[in-house]
Amino acid sequence: MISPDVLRFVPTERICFSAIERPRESRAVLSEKTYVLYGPDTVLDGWTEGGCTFRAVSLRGDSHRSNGSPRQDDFAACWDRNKSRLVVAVADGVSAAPLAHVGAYTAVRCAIRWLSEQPAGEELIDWMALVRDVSWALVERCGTLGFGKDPTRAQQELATTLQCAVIDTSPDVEALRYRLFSIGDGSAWQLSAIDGVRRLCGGKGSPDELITSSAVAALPGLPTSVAEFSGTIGRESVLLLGTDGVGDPIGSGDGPIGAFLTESLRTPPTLTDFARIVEFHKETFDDDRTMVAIWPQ
Amino acid sequence: MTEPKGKKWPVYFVADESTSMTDDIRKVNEGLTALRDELHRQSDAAGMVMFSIIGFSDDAVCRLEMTDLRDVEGPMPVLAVRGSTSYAAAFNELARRIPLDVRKLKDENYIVLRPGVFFLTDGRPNPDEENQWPAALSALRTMRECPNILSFGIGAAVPATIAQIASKREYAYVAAAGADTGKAIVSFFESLTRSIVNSGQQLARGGSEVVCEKPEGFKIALDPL
Repeated sequence: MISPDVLRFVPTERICFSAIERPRESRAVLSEKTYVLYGPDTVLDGWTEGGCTFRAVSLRGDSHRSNGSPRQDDFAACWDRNKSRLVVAVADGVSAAPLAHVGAYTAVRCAIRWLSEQPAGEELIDWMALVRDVSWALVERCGTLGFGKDPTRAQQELATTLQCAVIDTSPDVEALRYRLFSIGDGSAWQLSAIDGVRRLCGGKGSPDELITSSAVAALPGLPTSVAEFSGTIGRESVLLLGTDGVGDPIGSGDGPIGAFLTESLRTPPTLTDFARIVEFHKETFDDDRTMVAIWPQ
Repeated sequence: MTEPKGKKWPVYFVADESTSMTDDIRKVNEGLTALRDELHRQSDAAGMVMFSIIGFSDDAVCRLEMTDLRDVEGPMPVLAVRGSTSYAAAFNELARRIPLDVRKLKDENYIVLRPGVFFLTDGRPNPDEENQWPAALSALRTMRECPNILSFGIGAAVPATIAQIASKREYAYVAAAGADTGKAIVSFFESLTRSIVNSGQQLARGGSEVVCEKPEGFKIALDPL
């Protein structure tokens, strides 16, 4: 049971948010904060193909909605029927970078293109090659924006985190095999009715740190190495990827938000219900949120 | 690690209560009430601000313990003019108080953002403390919980001293020479209010900078002429 004072706008029944209690109306993105492209407040996508159901949403946080800033999170995904493979990328533009939203947009699309070009049956994924490709795409984008193809300038203007996942699916196999990596403070979780929300990787520094660090690894800065996390997701479980806008309020996953997600995502919701679930309200957690969820069929 | 209750940003307003503030202390107290009222109006943005008020003179006195200003309905605590200008007392009190406040918030299961200090003075530090206050400031800066310090000088404050106190060049402001100190205080509080609202949101989204708008009639303390 979710305490109503913790989740102020969450449901008397499942995930119906009260129209009366919702925060004030959003502001449009101010033109001086957009610069180069239209970025919608919310992006929502999903499908069921080849043995898995996919849902993804990227939402502008309440603080960006109130000050007219664009959503700095983004995602992209692609289902390849021939390879029975789902590829997903999630990015969170670093708020100190003025064009973080462009960085996130560029990074996820470049990553998806790179992953889609990998041959079927490839056992090893060269994540570092992907990271280098995305970093160069950010530097190139910096050039087309008129700042020059300068990695340092690209880091200042376009810095973004990146998470990618490759999910191999098959109607004949009950478990989905995933391989993923994360640069920055995004997280991946496995969610099940038995174990609740269990973090697989990512998140912010040590829980013991007194002051939360604002430092975050971000592209186009290149890491020295990229760690792969892999495993399988069986029936009754869900694989989640999310930015810190979701990861911060979830924390360890053993509180009210974790319980709410476990209950709400036990089975795939409709697209719009998925967006409403991820838009849970918890005071002071007003960052952009992106969450991807994948259920074995 | 558990699920956090929320994010909190400890903010300390540290004000000079030396006798030279006699004509202006009323403006400071009015400014604090206006700040409280504005945070009531911007309740969402104010949700993460935990505000403290410290007055300093011969010693430092906490006029308001760390509080969510949205919970303060009645009169705000008032600052009162008394003796000299001990910067050392102010920095020592911050160094003592900030770790306790951060620990309290951590124990209550909050994510704690780096504290911010807004330091307002109208004079020079006591001449017999010329070594003590830099040492106290240095101790404050080397703490694990070291705050971002923004310093504001009005009246007889010395620009070089104001710049020395601030965490970075862009955080040190002085009112123009000969400016009306009452007007400067009003301008300071307008800037303080905007800074608190904007910085809290910025820090919560992962930014590292306190967003500070130069108060009208002020200049960066070490701006070239």
